[in-house]
Amino acid sequence: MSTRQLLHLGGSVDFVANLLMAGGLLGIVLGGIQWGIALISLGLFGPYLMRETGVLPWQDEFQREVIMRSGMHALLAVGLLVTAIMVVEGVGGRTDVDGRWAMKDAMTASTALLVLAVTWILSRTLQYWGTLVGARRFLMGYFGIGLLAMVVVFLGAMGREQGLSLGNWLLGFAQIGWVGLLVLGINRWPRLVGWLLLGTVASAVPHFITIAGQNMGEPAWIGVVEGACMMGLPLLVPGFALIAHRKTKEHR
Amino acid sequence: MLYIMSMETLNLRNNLRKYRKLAGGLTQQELAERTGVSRQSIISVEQGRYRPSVELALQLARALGVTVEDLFELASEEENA
Repeated sequence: MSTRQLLHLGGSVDFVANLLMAGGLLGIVLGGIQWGIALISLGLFGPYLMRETGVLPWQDEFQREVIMRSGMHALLAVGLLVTAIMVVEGVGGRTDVDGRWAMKDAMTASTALLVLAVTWILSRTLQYWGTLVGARRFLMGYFGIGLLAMVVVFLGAMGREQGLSLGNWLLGFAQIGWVGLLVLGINRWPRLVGWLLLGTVASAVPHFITIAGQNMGEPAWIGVVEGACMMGLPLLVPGFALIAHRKTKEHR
Repeated sequence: MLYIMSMETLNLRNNLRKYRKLAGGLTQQELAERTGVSRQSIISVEQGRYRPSVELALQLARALGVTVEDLFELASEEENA
């Protein structure tokens, strides 16, 4: 098989894998969680299992390096999160015996898979696009989606007596605006923006802990952890990449 | 004094874009096809985001009719400053 055919075959397999992941996501949204997770895992791991076992060749060395590095980043993300949860569980000694939430139950298999998949996809895309371009696109997307979500929720809450206070709304818009502001500094101060992104996520942690601590049951706490991962990872991954960008600077 | 040459003190300078243009304005896609890699690989090497293997460096040099040293050269951190 010629190199061109190999590239085409690899691209086709990746395309099918992306369709499987999208289908799995849709399945989860529609309620078929088990099938959804199975499809996502098939799309996520299938092509690389085939490549590692020699059934499908790697497209080229660049693709292989990107995948290897993304895998390492996903391993770091899941490993560090599991370690953090286990350490806090051990130190804090929190149990659900007295009705408090149990930290050990906050890390479910679905959370681990979610963190792994999101980190892996973000890292892979960032490497394909390049750090500066990728980080800028991610943050602009984050800003756009965040702003849209805030406006929709704000309009939905208008006229209701219950809901967030004006201060919380302003805080929400300020956080989204802050991310939008950081986009402007990526080219000039990539490392600084990287640190600020990490700081932004770190500053949000107490907020999530407060939410989780408000007499929430175990399922709600798991939701909070997953929500925090979904909101934090799109900032953390570009943040780490921007910090590392200067160290690996090469001539253009 | 012993100087240790690490990744942080050496940078790879590449002239891939320059020689691609000199080779009759070869596009990234055409160069990718000649060397048997994806266009994304060529873009990444050209932008300095990816350091090619010796094999790919040789293939690129051959495809452009130049030497590997023409395409890639090491520059110390002092030169960059």
